[in-house]
Order: sequence, then structure tokens, then C-alpha cells
Amino acid sequence: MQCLRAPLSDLSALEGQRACAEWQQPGQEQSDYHPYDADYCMQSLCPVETAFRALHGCNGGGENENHGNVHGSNDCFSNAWPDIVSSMHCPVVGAAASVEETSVNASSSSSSRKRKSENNRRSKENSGGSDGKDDSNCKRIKEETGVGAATPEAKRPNKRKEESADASKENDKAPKSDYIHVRRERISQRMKYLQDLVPGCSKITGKAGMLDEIINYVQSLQRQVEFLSMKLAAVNPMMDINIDSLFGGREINPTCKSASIPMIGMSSGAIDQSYLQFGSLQHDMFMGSSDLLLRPNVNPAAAVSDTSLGSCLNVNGSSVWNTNLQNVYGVEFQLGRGTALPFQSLQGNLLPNNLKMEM
Amino acid sequence: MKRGPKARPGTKWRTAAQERVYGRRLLEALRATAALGPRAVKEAADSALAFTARGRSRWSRAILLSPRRKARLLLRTGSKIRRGRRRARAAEAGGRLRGRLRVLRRLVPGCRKLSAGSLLEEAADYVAALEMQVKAMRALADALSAAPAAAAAAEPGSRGGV
Repeated sequence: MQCLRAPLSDLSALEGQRACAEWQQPGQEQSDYHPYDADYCMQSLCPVETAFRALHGCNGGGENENHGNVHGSNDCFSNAWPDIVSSMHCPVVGAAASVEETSVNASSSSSSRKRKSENNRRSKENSGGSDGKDDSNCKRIKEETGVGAATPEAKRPNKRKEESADASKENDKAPKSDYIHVRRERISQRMKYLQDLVPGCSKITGKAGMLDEIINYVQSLQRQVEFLSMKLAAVNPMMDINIDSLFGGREINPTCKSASIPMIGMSSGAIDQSYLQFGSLQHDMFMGSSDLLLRPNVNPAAAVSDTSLGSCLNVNGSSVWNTNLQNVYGVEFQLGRGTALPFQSLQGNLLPNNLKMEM
Repeated sequence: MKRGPKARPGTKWRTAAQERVYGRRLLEALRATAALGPRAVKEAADSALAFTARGRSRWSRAILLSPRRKARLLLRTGSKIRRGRRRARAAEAGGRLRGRLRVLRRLVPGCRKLSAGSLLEEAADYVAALEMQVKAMRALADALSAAPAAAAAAEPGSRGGV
């Protein structure tokens, strides 16, 4: 940085330091950045530092757009490095940077304190040689991934998937503010979709109220599920009677017989037993019984095709649950291991990939 | 998870076929967890729902692959509801958007670190799935509670004792 500025004399160094120091305060420095200032171009084009930071900070934002960013900035820098003396590339850099500054300053107010202090620290390290353009790039991409969420790290993969669709059109444009607009549009699209999904949300405008409604709805649905599960638990003892009587008296699983009063919080041994039984329940009788029970609600024409699909899924499903139970209770389910594969192939290898992710 | 062309959650979960598939699974799960109490029934229902989602959404994978949910079978009852209420109160205290997003993250399983956009997507799928779950469970509960009368009348030799 010092060597960079040395050939260009003291004037640029002083102005560069001042401008850079002021840039850290949001909302103040737009006047400081004149696109055609030689000193601004110079102080924003420290190739080593900026390229390094560009690669690090901007890599988290997305694949294509990152390459676009890095390439764009690298090209700019690599072109400008020999041009620093002649400051020929300042207009390009400056114009882009000035557009960035507006959006950065607009969004920097919402950035976390951590990011700001990072940028401050970075700028102090460079003693005024820090780069407005680069910091703005990294800041913006970090902000995009960070706004409204906890960890930037974990969000990068998601951000990448979201932005990959837009990368193609973003690569052409120099102003990076479109990323935020695109992301916000996406969010509002999804909010609109949720609005259709959640009843009673059509009157509410604004994200906060919508989110409240969504939260209330999810909570109410979950409460309903709990209530219904209590009801089903009360009805369960009678289920054996019902199903058996529907079958004409065939007993499916003797150990499924239960006391008339459902017991809450049974010992793990009992649970183990029932889950083990569940693991072995791969009967076609179940298909028959459930069809019998659900027939009143079912379109008979569609039931036939569904039965075959359900039965084939059934086998795999139980094996998957066996695998889960195996993890939990340490019981050896060889069956689960063996037959889990068809299920995975059924999904097109979605599950194994995500097994790695989740576990 | 690649975002390719796929059916919207609203249409995907609202088909009668999907409800039948889920109902079937739910029934098997109920058979296995008979007389284990409402907690077990709920866990079984959630697992059945997550399985019916075929692991295509993050919340379903979180449910299927999370062992801690099984451990909750042994928890005392009512704690879950109380926790939900406390969370709701905390939601009001939180910021406007971010606080609510935080609450939503806790509500939808497996979405603790998602960005806002993905979170909303998962939430949409989860809401649709929950609606179907409630519908199926209600139908099943009604069928089961209505069946004794019908079955007792229909089958003379039905088993009386359990």
C-alpha cells in the first residue's frame, strides 16, 4: 500500500486515507467519491489486498455471481494496476463504486455490528488503503446472506442455490444492487404464495403482519395435530377391535393389544417392543384394512393404482423407519439396512446426500 | 437440494392420493404405537407425514433423521404446548421481521439456519403438509370413533376384549 502510493505522491495518499476512513461511517461519504478522482481509484486498487478480500468475501455469495464479481474486480484491478499511474480505469471503477455506495449505505444500516467492525478493522489494517469497492462487494454479499438470519456461513449454500438462477443476468450488469432487489423480490414472491396458502391473509399487507399470521397458523395447525393425536390415542384401543372386526376376526398383532386406558410415558422397553413390531409389520392386510377404513372417503377408481404404489412404498418406508429406530435404540435391523437402498434410489439419491448433510 | 421444476406445495399436498398415502402410513404407525399415549401418536403422525414428503423438503428430512424426537416420547405431557406459548410471547418482543423469522425458524423443523427465502419456501411446504395431516387425522379419528358402532352392528362375531 505504501509502495503503491509512493510513486503517486503525498496528495493522493492523504486524500485516500481520509476518504477511506470516512467511508466506514455509513451515509456520509457519497460526496467523497468522485468517480473520476485519481486518488479514489488509486486507493481502491490495491491489487494484493483487494484481490485477496474479493476472493474471500465474495466467494460466499454464490457461484456464478462470485466468478463474475471476482473476475470483474480482478480484471478491473489487473487492468488498473498498470494503469494506476495513468488512472485510466477510474471511470469504470468509480461509476460502479458510486452506484454500489448508495446501496451499501442504504443497506449498511441494517448490517450487523460484527460486519461493520470487520470492515473497520480491515480498513485500519490497510491504513487507509482499503478498497471501497471491495469492501462494498464483500459487505453486500455478506449482508445479502445475513439479513434476516443468524449465520452467514450456513446461509451461503442456500444463497448460492437461490442466486444461481439469477447469476446469468447478473453477470452482465456492473451494479451489484440488483442482487438485493432480486432477493427481495423472491422473498416477496414467497410471501405472496404463503398468503394464498394461509387462510385469512389476503387482507393483511406488510411482511410483519403476514409473518405473524403465518406463525399463528403454523402454531394452530401444530396444536390441532396434538389435539387429534390425543384423540387418536384415546381411540387406539378400540382400533384393534374395529380392524379385527372389519377383517372378520383376524388378529394381526397380538402384542398390539392395549389396555383400555392409554398410558402416557411408558418405559423405553415397551416402546422398543412396539417399534420392533412395527418394523415387522409389512403385511398386505394393512393395505386392505386401511383401504376398508378409508374407502368412504376415497374415489374407488383412484384407489386401485394408489394401492400398488402405496404397497411398494410401504416396504421401503418401514425399512427406512427401521433404520431410524436402529440409530436410536441400537437395535440391529439388518432388514433396514438392506432394503433402505431402494428407497433411496426411489428419491433419486436425494436422501443419502441429505443424510450426509443433516448428520 | 436443487430447485428444479416441481409441484407447488399447495397442489402437491392437497391431492386425495397424497392423503390416502399418508392415511395408510398413519394407520400403520398407530397400530405400532397403540396405547403409548398421545405423544407417541403425535410423533408417529409426524414421522408418517415426513415420510410421505419423501424427504424432499428440509423439514421432513429433519423429522426423519432426528433421533431426539424419539426421546421426547418420555417427556412429560404439556411441556410442548407451554413451550409454544412462551415462544409466542417472545415473538412479540423480537424485532419486526427478524424476530418473527426467528420464531418461524423454530416452528418449522430443520430450518434453523436457513435464509429468509428458503425458510418461507419450507414454511409453505410445511403448512400444506400440516393441513393435510390435520385433515387425515381428523378423518381417521372420526372413522375410528364412528366405526365401533357400525362394526359392532355389522359383525356378530367381533372380538370383544383386548
